[in-house]
Amino acid sequence: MSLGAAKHWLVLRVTAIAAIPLCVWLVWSMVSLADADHAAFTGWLKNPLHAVLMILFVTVNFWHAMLGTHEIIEDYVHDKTLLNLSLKLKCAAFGIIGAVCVLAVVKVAFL
Amino acid sequence: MTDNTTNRPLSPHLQIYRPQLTSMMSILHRITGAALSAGGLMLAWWLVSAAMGEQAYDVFRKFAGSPLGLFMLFGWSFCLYYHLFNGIRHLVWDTVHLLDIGNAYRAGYIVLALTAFATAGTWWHACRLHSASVSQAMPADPDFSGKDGE
Repeated sequence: MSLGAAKHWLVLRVTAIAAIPLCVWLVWSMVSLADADHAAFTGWLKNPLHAVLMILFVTVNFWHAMLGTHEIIEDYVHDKTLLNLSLKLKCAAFGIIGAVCVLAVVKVAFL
Repeated sequence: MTDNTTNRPLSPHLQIYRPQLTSMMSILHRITGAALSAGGLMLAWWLVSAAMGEQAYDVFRKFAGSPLGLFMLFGWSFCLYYHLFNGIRHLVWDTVHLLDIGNAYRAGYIVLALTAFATAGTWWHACRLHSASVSQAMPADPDFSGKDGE
């Protein structure tokens, strides 16, 4: 809402398109990492290409999910105060969890 | 205009209609989207446990390999493929193509077939890789006995 409906519509679709190759990449990687222990997984994530793609995956998909859940909440929460509160809480949750994911990747890969 | 706010006719809602492929797939798009958003928590657990160290990562690994963890991963893969393929259907609609009823149904059936094919193919491939590595790891590593999922 604060974004403006047109921007919300556009960003939802841009992130959707960006998510397509990233999702294929992550599923492919997860299958090949199915038996990886800590050393194997962190070794894989230390590859800068994998780290950057993982950060992109988290950013693009959390952004997409943030906008998508916005629409769901708007449809089902009718009380104005409750609506604003749940939208703010939802945004904060996605922002914090997404940031924690990115920091975790940065710590493994670059620190 | 009369001020009539309590006795207006309502438009027919979900329970009025016989379920159709198009409406069911629309609802499923939303359900899988919500499920995938929740799945973000699993992704966070995976990445954070890796950053915390070997002990924390082994806890995650043990859960992911348990029957419940594998069931959740299977559900996640189904939701991801469905939302991805049906999302492409939506993106095509945004370009004002395939909007007539016949094509909306045809594209719907294609999405369902692709979802089933991709989900089954991914797990078939994962099981093949896993059984190969289990038979390799078996002699040296007792953790790969295949019974550590409880």
